[in-house]
Amino acid sequence: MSAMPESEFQASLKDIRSLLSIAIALQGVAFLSIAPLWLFACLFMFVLFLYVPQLASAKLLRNLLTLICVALFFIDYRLNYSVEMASVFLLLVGSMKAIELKSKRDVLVFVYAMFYLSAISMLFKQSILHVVLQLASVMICFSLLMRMNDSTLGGVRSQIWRVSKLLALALPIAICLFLFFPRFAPLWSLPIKTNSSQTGMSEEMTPGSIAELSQSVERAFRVTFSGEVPERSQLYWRAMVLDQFDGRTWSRAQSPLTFERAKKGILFGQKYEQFQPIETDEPSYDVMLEPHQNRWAFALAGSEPASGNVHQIGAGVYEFVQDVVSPTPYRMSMPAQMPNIDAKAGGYLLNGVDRVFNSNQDLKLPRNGNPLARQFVEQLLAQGPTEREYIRALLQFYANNDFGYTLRPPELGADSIDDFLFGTRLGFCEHYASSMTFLLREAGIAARVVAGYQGGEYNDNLDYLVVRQYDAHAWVEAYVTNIGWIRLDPTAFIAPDRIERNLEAAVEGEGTFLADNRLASLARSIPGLNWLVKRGDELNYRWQRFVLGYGEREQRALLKRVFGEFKLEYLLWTLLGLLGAVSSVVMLYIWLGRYQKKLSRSERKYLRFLLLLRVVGVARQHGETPAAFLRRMKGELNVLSLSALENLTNALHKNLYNVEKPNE
Amino acid sequence: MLALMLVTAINYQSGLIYLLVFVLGAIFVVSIWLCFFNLQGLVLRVSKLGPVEAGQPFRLTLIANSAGKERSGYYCSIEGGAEDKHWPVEKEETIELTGTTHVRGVYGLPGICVETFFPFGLIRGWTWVWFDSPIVVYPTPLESPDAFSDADSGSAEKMLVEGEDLGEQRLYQQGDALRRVLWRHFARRGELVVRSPEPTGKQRASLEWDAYVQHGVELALSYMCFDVLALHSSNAEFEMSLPGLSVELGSGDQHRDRCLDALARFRG
Repeated sequence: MSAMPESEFQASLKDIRSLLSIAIALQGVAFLSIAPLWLFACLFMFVLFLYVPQLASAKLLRNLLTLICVALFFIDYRLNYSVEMASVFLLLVGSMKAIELKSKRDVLVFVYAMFYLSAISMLFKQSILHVVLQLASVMICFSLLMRMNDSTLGGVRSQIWRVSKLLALALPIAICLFLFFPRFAPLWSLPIKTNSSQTGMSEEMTPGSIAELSQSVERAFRVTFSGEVPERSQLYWRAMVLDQFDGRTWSRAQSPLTFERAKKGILFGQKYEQFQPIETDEPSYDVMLEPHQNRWAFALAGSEPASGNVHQIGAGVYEFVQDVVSPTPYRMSMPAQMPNIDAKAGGYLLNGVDRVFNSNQDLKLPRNGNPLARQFVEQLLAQGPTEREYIRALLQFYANNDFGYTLRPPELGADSIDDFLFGTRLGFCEHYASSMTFLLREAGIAARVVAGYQGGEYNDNLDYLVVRQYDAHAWVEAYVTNIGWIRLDPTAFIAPDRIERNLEAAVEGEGTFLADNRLASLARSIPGLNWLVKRGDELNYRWQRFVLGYGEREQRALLKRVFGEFKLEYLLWTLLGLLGAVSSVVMLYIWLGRYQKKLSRSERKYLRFLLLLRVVGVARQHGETPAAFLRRMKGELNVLSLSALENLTNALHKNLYNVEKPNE
Repeated sequence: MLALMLVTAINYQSGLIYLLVFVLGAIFVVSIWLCFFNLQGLVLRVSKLGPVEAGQPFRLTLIANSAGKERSGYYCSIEGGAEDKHWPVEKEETIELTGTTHVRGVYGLPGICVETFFPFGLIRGWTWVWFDSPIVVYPTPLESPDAFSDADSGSAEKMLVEGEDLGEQRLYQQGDALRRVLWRHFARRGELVVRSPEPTGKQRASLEWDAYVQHGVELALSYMCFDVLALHSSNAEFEMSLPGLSVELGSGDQHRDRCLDALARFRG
């Protein structure tokens, strides 16, 4: 490219600065939820510098701004590497380039930075909206290049229009490639680290933590079942066992966890693992997990991992090797229906939840605190019950003593179990799970709190179950000698609606469902909006399934459907064939009249009217001028059409020759 | 750039980044075609390539016809790199290029490079065009020390000054140039009278090789050239003869060019 003198470049900068600012603003919007506030101030300053050349020409000011930005960045992030940090840095540096553009090369650097930013931002944001924003950003960048290269191509808007047309030409090719480009296994290990805050469950449970979660309508995961959908009351999605109690908070005991992970060889974050599901005819279910920035996977008790990216560790917990930072699919085999060993106690026998290493972790309690509860256990034990009788007695205690289910439980004191059992008696699932586990352990029965989700909402249109944050739940697992681990859910006794129907039904009388989340509750109360939310969810489901989830497996399935079997050659031939076909069509389109001469508005209108007149049976003769045609039509046409023709002819003349009346 | 992004997509198994890479890649490919078809079908014609004086850069005027397509800008340059120009093309555009300098003689026009960076400046589409038109480089005109036609040119000037009154007059006929009408006569007598198209004082001259040859070939050619130009600018009729070649009596631009062509081609 012929080198452009700097002065000329500076002049053309005026032409492109609106595009530069739009590009920066778009990325700003895309990063609204991730970037710190100061970044937006910086971006604003960059745009200001673009528009006020006096500022930009002051070298001192520019250096100062650069320095401030870099300093702010290091103060904010230090050197805690994460993808977000990298992308924010790229956004900062890329936009900074905008204030010191000296040649076309610099613009190119800016554009490349924006392209790569688009790519890495998709590592942690995959919503449709984000993708649309990034696509817009890409188009703006291309418009920028086009404008840079040829400023004679009309205004910014027509430029963007041109680029959209170009995109429309490119899209079929891109879709071919997306569908049939062979997918490779990851080349090397690159753990993704993100620092976005955790969503959903945490590794601890204090009174109130799940109730807080129940205010959120965010999606936790979706499930599609290959076979029959189990009853709602059986949908206990286990995430983790909380087996360590400090008198108030339940948490995961670290040493058994570390041991179990080490035994499976997944102690450290390793190479990203692919979905790689196992195809069987056995009933199974596929989960599409929303990113929760943790390692655990949700599954029904007794499921076996059926895809390469999930691993089972002890106590029936399933984990990924890395934190889940993007929507992740995994497959689990459907567990066999387990018998209800004690209908009265609501206890279901579980398998596959044993620990690898038999510690007495499930019996440990703090030495002190909660004297009333301990005393109560002693009283019950004094009658010498069997384990099962003791469990039944506990559940009866909950059922007969006016316990209430509420999302707004009263505050508890230092001896939280005592306060709850013998004081407030108003609580949420975590209160019941916590207190019951305490009572079981005190009596020498191994027990633990299990945190996860219960239930879900079934979408009949697309056959999937969506589990939201407000489905978060906690329950109890206890070990009965000679029988095994059983699941106990005291909440089911207090508020059967919670299990049979959903949380909304369970707290209907209280009116606290989503009470703190006005927007979400409003959305649910307006039928139209609710419908829209549901359709949005379905769209998102399709998006995740067919776009985000499209990979090697889907490629194979697609080819199998067409050719009957999968071979890499078939894939390559299909790709090449389709690319060739699509490319020739696109090329032909470009070659043949890509640009038709554009008629002006008045010309188009006039010609359209002539077409109409043809229907009536009059046509302009070859070589007849509009004025002559108008004269000839006088007396032939009715008044209305004639005046219309006259108006159009005048407009045409005015437009073409810039005269009010045609020259007679 | 794209490769880096593709590696990112592969390593993180991100369908979206794959998609982005493919969209960018496809746009890149389409832009190659756009670049190609921005030049494809363009019609270039040499409009003017006048005789050029030795030691002066030649000027070339091209007419570019976009052949019914809207085209974006492209650059034209002459081999040996003289000038780059950039055209937003409407339908037909005139392109003026300046070439390099030459010594006397006749040369083939060097290749014209037409290139475009449409649409994004990432790809260069270019072609070389070679025209058959020759560049005629005539000798540098030098005034002859012999002062060949001093007296004659003086009288010619005189005659031109008196021309308005002395020229032959006849009645106006349709097609006569308006500037030849004697308006003073029209004001006085009311009849349209024109000067005869050929002023009577028109000078005739003959440039003979033998008159110059004593200065040596190149100098002689330079002197002759000077006289050709001088005679042409005084609108005179003249003939020219060189060994083995002669240009018969004539006047006007074409006649001059014929003479200069002969001077350029002369091999002594």
